Amino acid sequence: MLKRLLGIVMPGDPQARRAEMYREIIRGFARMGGTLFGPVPEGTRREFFCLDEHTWVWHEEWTDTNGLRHARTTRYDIRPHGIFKAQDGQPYQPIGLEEAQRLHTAAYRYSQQVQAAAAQAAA
Amino acid sequence: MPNFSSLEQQPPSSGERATLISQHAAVATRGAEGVGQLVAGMVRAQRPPSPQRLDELARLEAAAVLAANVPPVPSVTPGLAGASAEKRGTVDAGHAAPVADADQAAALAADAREKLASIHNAPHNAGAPNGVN
Repeated sequence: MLKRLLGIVMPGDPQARRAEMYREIIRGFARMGGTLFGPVPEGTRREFFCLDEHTWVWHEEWTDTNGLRHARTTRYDIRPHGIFKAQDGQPYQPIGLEEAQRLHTAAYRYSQQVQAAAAQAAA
Repeated sequence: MPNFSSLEQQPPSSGERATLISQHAAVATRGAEGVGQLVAGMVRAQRPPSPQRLDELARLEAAAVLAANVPPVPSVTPGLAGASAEKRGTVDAGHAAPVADADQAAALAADAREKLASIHNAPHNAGAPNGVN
């Protein structure tokens, strides 16, 4: 609690600064992840990223033909007995093979890109 | 009064940033591997079993059928097996139909193989949903 309070009072606190830096890194990779499946259409915001070892997130915002803005967040949970997804607060449901294969392709490409960025940052 | 502004102005360390990117790379790699393992499991589960595997399953099923039909053997080592084994030895023979005949066992195995084949060839299990096997 004290640490949390100090984090608000002192943004320069190394731990809070490190956490903010990590979030900012993930935001950057999320934008990169959104481009893994080709160019993002004009007016669409697409993000895909690894939240943690067992969670992948897909977020998309777009405007329909009537000018209405839509947003959809899909969260994939990797559990020992299968892959489950939840969309916009709906209950979790298992995904089929086709969707799982697409998720795997995306996750693999994402990890390759992040590894390349890590090698570049370390050089 | 402490000078907080000096803390806020600390430039982000490039080494620290590289460490965090490397940390995220490790997390993402493990995450992608986890997805890959589950997908591989899903593919295996959808693939129809090979003829060898069908034979093996049939043998196992036939053995299970035989085991279910052979009457329990009375314990010859009561000290080890105890009272429960002796009790099993007194099972009503009317409930047990021993299969001692080799032809009958072979027929049971063939029947089991046929049942398994029909299960595995059922339309719901014919292949991947996208039609690619």
